[in-house]
Amino acid sequence: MSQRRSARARRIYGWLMRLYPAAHQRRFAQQMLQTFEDHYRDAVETGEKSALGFWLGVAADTSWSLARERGAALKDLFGERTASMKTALAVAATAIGILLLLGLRVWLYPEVLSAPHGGGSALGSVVGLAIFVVVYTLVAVVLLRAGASSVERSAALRRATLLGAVVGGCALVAIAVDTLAGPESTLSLIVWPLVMLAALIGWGLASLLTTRAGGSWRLGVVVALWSGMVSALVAAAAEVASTLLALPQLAQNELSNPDYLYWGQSDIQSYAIASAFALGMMGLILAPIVASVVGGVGGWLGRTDGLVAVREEVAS
Amino acid sequence: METSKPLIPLTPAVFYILLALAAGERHGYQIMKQVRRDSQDQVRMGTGTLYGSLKRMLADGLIEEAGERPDPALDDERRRYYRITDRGRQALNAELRRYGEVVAIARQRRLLPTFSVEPGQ
Repeated sequence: MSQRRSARARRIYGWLMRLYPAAHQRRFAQQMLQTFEDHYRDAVETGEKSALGFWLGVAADTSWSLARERGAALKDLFGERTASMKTALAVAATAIGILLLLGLRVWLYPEVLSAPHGGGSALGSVVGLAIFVVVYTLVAVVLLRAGASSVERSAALRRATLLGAVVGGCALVAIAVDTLAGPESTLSLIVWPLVMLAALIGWGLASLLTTRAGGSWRLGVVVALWSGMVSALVAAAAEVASTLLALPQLAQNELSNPDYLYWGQSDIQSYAIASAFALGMMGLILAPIVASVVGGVGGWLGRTDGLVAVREEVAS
Repeated sequence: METSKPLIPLTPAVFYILLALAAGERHGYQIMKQVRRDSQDQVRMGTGTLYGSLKRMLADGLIEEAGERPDPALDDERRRYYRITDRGRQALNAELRRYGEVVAIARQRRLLPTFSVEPGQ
């Protein structure tokens, strides 16, 4: 009877052991089980303690130590990935922010879903934007997982996020100018090319410097791509926000839009909202493509042999 | 893996484990029983708490696993014996000195009640 109880107690403790982090189990499971058996024998089988009292003690001790070991394991995990996690959180927060803005916009103006826009319905722009934001987040997570394996990658992605946010901020200013001064205004015609130039130079330089600093050419391209994605996310957020904050101006601007005049639609506001969404979507498609191409060139130039090739080209 | 953490003050668990190991190599259950004895039943460590403390003490370089079991023939091979390291001994000595200084101050200020405790009881 006593042996059966003892075997059952060992089995129960063995199950509890499985709740500990894998590394802790690998190192201490056998020893802990042995110590538990000794303790059980001395405490319960000799009658020093009741079985209930013993198990209450085990439950308290296991709960406390489990919480501590699980906490320590999490701390280790986050300690290694703190920089990467912060970057991921920033990107995820931006993506969630855009989706919330999108939802709010549609909730406030549901007509946009059914209103015609261009050749089809504005629903396409809304759904497309939402899908792109989700795809972006997934791609960002994949890139980040690849980047989390090394400190160098993690730092490069952090810098790329910063650059992306700056370029996105410039696009935000351009969108504000576009909205307030009108897309055909002189200011708008000056600001947009400057933003695009800054984006091209920024993405290319980021890739070049990353490659030159010892990272691989591939890492340079990833950095440019990441940066382009972040820029596009910020710009898309600005586009959606503009439909919430300055719809009358957007509608006013659309009145002189040849496309709007061509399609001759009655609901100018839903057309303006759908146009802003479509622009955001276009940015989300184009920015990473352009950034990857520019990043590829920058990264290639950043390689030692790439520079040598260019110098030889110039010399000849 | 030793860390640059300050050695003292030690937590009660770490202090009593070091105290238990200062007398010689012991396995987990022996440490558990010795801690209970040395602390006059004030510190009772369960298996989970004990091995969590041992893990951190190994990481801090205060203890190490002993290579051999004292009597392999009579012993369960799952047992691992632990021993105190030089760093662990330094930490224990520093903590004991600290306790001694506290007791000296208390005595100087006549704060100590008149009682005696027999060691190991």
